[in-house]
Amino acid sequence: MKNLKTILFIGLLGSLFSCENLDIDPQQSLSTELAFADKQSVEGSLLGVYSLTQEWEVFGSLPQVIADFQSDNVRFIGSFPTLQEISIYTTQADNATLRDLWRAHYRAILAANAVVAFTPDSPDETLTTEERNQFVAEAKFMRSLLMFQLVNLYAQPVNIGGENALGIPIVTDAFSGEITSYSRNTVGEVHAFIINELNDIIADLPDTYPTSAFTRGRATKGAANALLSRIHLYRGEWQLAAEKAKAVLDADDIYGLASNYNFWGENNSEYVFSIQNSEIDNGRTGSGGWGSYYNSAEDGGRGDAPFSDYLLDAYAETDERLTALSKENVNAEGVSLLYTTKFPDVVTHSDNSPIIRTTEVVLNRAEALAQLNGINDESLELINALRERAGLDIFNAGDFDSEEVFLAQILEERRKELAFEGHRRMDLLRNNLPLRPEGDTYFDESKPGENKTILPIPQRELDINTELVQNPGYE
Amino acid sequence: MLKNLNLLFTMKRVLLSLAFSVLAVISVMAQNRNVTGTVTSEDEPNGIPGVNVSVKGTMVGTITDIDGTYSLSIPEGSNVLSFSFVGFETQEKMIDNQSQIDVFLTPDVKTLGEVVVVGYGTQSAKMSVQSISSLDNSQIERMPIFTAQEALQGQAAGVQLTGTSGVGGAQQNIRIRGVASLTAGGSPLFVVDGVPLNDGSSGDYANESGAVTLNPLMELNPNEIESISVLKDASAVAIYGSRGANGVILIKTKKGTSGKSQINVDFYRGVQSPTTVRPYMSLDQYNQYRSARTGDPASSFPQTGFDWPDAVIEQGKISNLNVSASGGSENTTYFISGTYFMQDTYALGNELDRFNGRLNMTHKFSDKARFGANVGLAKTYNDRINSDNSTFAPLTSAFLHLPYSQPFDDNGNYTRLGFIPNLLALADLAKTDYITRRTTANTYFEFDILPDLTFKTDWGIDQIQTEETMRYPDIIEPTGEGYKRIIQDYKWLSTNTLNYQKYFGDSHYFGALLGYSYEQSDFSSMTVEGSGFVSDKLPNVASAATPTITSATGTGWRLASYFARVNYRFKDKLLFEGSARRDGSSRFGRDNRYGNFWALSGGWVLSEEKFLQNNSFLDFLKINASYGTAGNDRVDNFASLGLYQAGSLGDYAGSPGIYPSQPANPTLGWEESAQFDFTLYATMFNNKLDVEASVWNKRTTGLLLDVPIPYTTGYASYAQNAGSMRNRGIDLMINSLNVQSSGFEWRTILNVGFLENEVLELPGASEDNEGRRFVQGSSSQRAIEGYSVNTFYLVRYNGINPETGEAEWLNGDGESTSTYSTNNREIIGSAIPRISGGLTNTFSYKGFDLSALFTFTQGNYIMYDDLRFLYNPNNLNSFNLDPQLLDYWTEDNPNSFAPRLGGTTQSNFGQRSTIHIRKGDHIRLRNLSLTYNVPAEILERTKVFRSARIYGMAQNLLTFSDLEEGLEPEISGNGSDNQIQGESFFTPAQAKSFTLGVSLGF
Repeated sequence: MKNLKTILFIGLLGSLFSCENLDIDPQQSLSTELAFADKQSVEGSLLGVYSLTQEWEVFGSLPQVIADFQSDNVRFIGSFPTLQEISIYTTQADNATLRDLWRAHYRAILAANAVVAFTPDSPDETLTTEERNQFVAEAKFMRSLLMFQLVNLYAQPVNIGGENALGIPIVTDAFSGEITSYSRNTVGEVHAFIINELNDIIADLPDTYPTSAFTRGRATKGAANALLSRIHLYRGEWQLAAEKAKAVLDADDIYGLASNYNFWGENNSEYVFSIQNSEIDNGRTGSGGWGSYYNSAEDGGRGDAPFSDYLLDAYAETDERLTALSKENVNAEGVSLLYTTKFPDVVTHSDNSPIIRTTEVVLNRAEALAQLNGINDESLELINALRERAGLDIFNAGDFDSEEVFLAQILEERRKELAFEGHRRMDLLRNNLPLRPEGDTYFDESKPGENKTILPIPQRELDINTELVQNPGYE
Repeated sequence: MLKNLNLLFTMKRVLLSLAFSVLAVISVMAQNRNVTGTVTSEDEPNGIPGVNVSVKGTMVGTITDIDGTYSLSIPEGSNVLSFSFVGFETQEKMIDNQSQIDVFLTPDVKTLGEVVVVGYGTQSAKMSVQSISSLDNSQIERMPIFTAQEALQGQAAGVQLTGTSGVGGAQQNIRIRGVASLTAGGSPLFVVDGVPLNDGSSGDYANESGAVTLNPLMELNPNEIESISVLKDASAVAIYGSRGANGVILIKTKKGTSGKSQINVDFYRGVQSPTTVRPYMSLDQYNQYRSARTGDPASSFPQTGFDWPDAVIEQGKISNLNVSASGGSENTTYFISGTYFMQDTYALGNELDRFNGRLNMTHKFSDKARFGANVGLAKTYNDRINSDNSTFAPLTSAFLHLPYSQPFDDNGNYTRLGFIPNLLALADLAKTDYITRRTTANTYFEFDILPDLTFKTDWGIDQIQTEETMRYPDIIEPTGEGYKRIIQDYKWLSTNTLNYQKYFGDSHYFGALLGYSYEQSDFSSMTVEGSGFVSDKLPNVASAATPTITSATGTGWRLASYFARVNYRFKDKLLFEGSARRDGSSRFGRDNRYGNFWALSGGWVLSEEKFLQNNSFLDFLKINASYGTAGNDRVDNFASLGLYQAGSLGDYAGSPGIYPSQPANPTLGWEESAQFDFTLYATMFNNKLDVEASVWNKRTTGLLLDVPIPYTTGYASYAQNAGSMRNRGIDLMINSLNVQSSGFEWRTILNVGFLENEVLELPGASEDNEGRRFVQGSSSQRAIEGYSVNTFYLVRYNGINPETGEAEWLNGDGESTSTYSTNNREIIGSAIPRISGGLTNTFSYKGFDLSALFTFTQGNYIMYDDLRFLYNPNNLNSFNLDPQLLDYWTEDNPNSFAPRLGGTTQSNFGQRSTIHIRKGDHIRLRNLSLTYNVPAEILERTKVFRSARIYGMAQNLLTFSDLEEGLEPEISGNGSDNQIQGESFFTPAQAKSFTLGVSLGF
């Protein structure tokens, strides 16, 4: 009895001295030092940059949906108050969706900046100089692409506001703990930064990658040239726009027009750069992705963005861009609506994000050449190739009374080719055209230069960073 | 880890096998002569039942029976009987030749009767210098409640409790003496029988079903609770160190008492309905409004509608069956209990079932050594629904569905309705289960090293496994979707204390507690999700074509603590206490790993002084004051590290990737709350009136603040110990026996707390246009320097201009304008009630008890965020709307609710403003109960029943407030988020319930 108690007592006393180890490591994360410790982790950090742009707010359809809701290609049947106010030009500076959009872009920019900053010093000796340069170049491509998307949304286009219009902050630092209050660079500075950076990195970028997913989904010489072509086009630098487009189209072993519209959804020569999405990426986010916005409720989408009547009127009845790429749906009230089939995955939202397509590059060149040379054969040839693919009659030079009519036709082809891919808003604004046609309720508010054709700097950012200046109409 | 687990299992096995072998060894020894007698006291002249009578120096003993008598065989050679009972002084009597020994026990001045549970021990309620609100089981059992927290509402001064929603199993939002933190958890620490509970504060419990998060007391049945102590001031909580800043709630479960086994059966059953339901447009109203808006005749719109809210609100049912038994021999006591609780809430598709079991036992090896075990087991099955901001939430989407949306097509099949799903199909075909299995247990061993020095070691576990299963059919998610998440959170702790108590002479009492504890929690989760099913009949993710989530995670924390408490009393008149704790936590950076917390308090029993004696009304008067600190460690497990996260947000095109997820902050440290408390406690008029009043001031410094930084840095915020906040208030408790005459008794208990919260400093935070620093909680509220942590900051709505028919708001200069701008936001008020409390009146007459508990809050605002949808004219053809929109401006209707159709403010009318906010002041008849106790004479005749009670209860029967129909005042749509309080997004209203029950004792 006595012994028993003693044993028990000593045993329990032992519990007093149980090991006290308070150092434990996270299991799902790496410390920042480890994130650039070897080749695998450096490449992982780079792929993380691409991955962050899969988010809904970056290339997961939100900026494109916003552009569509502001312009005339879709009819808003929305449920989101924050998107609703953008579509009816009553946007407020505290719009939470726009705040998140700003945030998600700069988060991806930070990830890119970290790759630019830390890759050269990675201690892994098996990482060659060429690989390091390429990784840095890819990260630079991504931050240029991100900043360009931001400046288009948050600043007046250069043709309206000029080079000195307020743009967005150019951020190239990898956050070190010191909080910098960045101010807005001008649109001209942002453009110049992007153009310089892209020109610098072309030499370091590969033409292709071992897999088609990477050739279409990672930065390449072709992607950098194509992006340059778009920037120069937006800036009215026609010669450069045409040249850069040509640089892309000349690589015809990599890029070329598909023969029909079955190219959607696959990695093929129709894509210069597309963010690769899989079932696990945009997953079941509550806000959805491409498939969610552009599909009917009946098919499992939100049904927010069917064809507008304006867009329907633009297509000829037999235009395959209409017939092959749309689907009719009758809603609860018996009204028939047409939805695009470019993004069919309503279940896992795994459709790739078509950021730069060969078709766009073709249209860039056609437009730039027409601006330079008026009605010309090469432009005609380029747009006729698209019309033939759509099953339409081709144009002859004599069909156009003037250079203006010709340019308007190129723009119209651009609208019909690139509908639902987020191009329409900038294509109208850079041509000094209103976002909504005359007769629309919001025609006046949608004119180029109007305050709410561009987005407000998030109120949250202004509250913290006194260096930022709000866009007019949002103060 | 594995090693520790094994060690624990081994330890437990050894302990248990030892315990049982010891039990077997003890047997009754030879017995000789017999002694009988009766034990009485002044209050109980007819005999005290349950008094321990033992033969000194032997294992022989018994307890007195119901009339205070005992009979005992005395072994040869023994000559001393010992009589002991809680609250009385132990007496020893020489036996000699006596065969009858009657004993008169006197109350023990050391414990002075009522005992209160404090951290790591108990104290005399009257001699304690801690500020504690205490509830006994009579205050808990009287309600048909699912979790024990609900009992605290209105029954503990200084405790603000808000039911978060009417969804089954929704957590209760508890704030003890205000909120002491911004970003770190705000809930108190729950400790059951010495085991601090996992409370899911880490965020790892996040799940797919919307607002409901883990309720730490979900698996504890209120029937099993003996007492609840709410520790409020620094002297009470400092002993819990880094987890004490939000207050501590100590729960003690029931124990058996020696004597004949007593069996209790309790059963109740009832019905439930929502306290209030939102108004919504009928199809006719909708068509009428649409016609007015579009100019088309109403007849051109759909003419067949469906009443969605009516379809998703049904009559709820609630029932509960509890069977328990308790008793024991002189050395061993037990309490065993089993409960089945079932609630089918008023929301379509929401059901809750819970099975509880509990076994508590104690055993005395000898005069010096004791051991005990408390084991609670539970399984909760929750057929969940989403709530709040989720389109899958029936009580949200029913009010948003267009009134002409049809759940069935012409063939009677479910329709696919898209973004706002078909709620009937969802309830019928989807599987949305949440199962929790939990074991909370501890075993302890106590040994009296010296007569006044006791060693206690306690091993506790709190093991939770949750299993969340969802399976949406094709009609809801095209091709079908399946989801399963299993969480295991295994926590164990070892607590070891030395306790010393001694009187030196008559005047000096000295007590000391010294302890060490180590606590470790290991969390793991496994989640799979897939889509693409051949058939809705395949329930598991394994049948899915495309796995969309395949995830397994792990995390954990450790806490090592040293603590001590010293008590000194001089002549039971002057009281002193000091306590201290040193905590080391794995959650903090290496530089700030350890934190020290302490408290000092002193009391003076004035009624013991000569100048207050010999007065006719004052029975007892004590004042005490305390000051001390406590901390808050409710931060993410790895908040101080700079991190790159891997996983599906980092991968790209099939290759693994990582991304920066958190900036480093190696200096991250503890949040510390320093509190001053002054309390007066008085008992008057022959113990008929108790008054307790406390004035307190709690100041939190080093506030863990996610200082928002410009998004352009790439991060949203930076965790810092910046900022300070103050809560101060008055707690008042009055317990009055108003009338006591033959057969009739009327008692009133008032608990009320006055609270003022103010954010003092937020260094580094954003500044608004008036130069005030703030941290934003939601689009409607923020913490602002100089104001409350939950300050609503909105544009002030100024009504419809009767002249123009346009909506108007106030601009920065207080002028009315028809231009809406968020730059005109101003401070509206706080979401935190200034006054909250409860008033209980109990009337007893000849076996009848009538009890009414009113709860009340005053001084808070509530944002009904959903009104932004319902009042928004732009949502025509997107959602159903509020019928008030039909009251639009025309020249004949200049004083309208809504602006002129086609006016310029039509599109801005739905913008966030004070039109969506209300004052939350209300009084609610929270609980009304009528009980009939069958008289003892009748029961005796049955020879079966010891007691019998029949009762009826009504919950939330009446609500008095200025709120219009459909607006529920008791909500907290964002759960326990400190920075977002008092916001509702279609948050389901509390349930009104009627129950009938019967309770039998055998």
